[in-house]
Amino acid sequence: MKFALIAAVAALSINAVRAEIPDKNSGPKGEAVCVGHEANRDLYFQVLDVIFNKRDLTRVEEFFAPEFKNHNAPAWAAQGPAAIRQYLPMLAGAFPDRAVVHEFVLCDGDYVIARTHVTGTSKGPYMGQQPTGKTYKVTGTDIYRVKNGKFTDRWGNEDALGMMQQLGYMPDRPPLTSENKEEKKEEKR
Amino acid sequence: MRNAFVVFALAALVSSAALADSLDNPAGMDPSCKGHEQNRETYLKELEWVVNGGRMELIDELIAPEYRNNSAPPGAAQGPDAIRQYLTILKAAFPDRKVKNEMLLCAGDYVIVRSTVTGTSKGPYFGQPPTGKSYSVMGTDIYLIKDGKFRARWGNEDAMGMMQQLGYLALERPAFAPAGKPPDKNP
Repeated sequence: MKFALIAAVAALSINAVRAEIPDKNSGPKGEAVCVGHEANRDLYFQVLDVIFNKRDLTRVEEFFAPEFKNHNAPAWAAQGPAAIRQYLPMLAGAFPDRAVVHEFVLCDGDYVIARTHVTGTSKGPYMGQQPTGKTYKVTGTDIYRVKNGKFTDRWGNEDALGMMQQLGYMPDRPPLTSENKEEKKEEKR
Repeated sequence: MRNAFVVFALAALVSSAALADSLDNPAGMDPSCKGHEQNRETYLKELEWVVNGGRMELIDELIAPEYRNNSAPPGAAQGPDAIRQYLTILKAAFPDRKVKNEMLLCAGDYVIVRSTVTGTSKGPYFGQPPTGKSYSVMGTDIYLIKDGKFRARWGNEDAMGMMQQLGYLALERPAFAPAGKPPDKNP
């Protein structure tokens, strides 16, 4: 009897933990789009937590294959697990509170597609610019390829321009002008 | 009447062959999207006819009234007007602008694409005068497509790389970047 009660309480608390991450399974509207690809999805969640947010660089090899290629890296950037060791400390130096926040995840075959937003506060130099103390929040869209339980490729884009604007390194994009709006109306006629 | 039908059927065949060709994947991906062929073709149709072909009259057929671009700047239009506004501005700035599909994945009602976007600055862009320079950048987009119509978009394009290549923005390379290589090119 006592055991059943403990089991029931344990089951309830597991549900409570699950309830805190309701979007863990799913696409933007709560669809279960990673059925059959749970291992790939969970690899992504582990990387998000352990590597991108806790920045435990001793565990990079657990998640990134030796042949890992970041297809969006500039020509001078490292590749393989070294890419992560180069990129994360640089960002942590500039934005010590940098966090990558999960929005939704999709799966197709060996691919995991992730939509996130990234936040941070400028406390150190970034790309040769002095810190401004300002905070940014921008979106990112990434595709990862998984093979034998590790990431082998990344293709992705983050709103780097929006980031530079919010940090005060670049002037804001002017709003869409009334001229543009008139052109649009004419086309509709 | 029959001739017209034959011509129409031939045209349909030719256009589906063209769609299949555009699926050739430079990144060596497996052809994907089994069971989601309609979504894939809706995406490729919009890309070839509207985005690259400039056929604005097809926008209402392909873009649902509730279409929402979740990555639009503040003040931007939504619905089919979002596409009309966006393409009009881009066409004036970069008359030769083209979007090339590099990778196409499907998950449920979602189509995920990687593209290369190229163009030459010939008109003003967001308040900047044209520079005559060309750009080539990558974009990653997620579209929600249902019953042949686009419903939503979440995506990012390398807008910073674009501004750098067009000569609107100069940034230093980080300390670990070896000297002599430009910091602003996507491989």
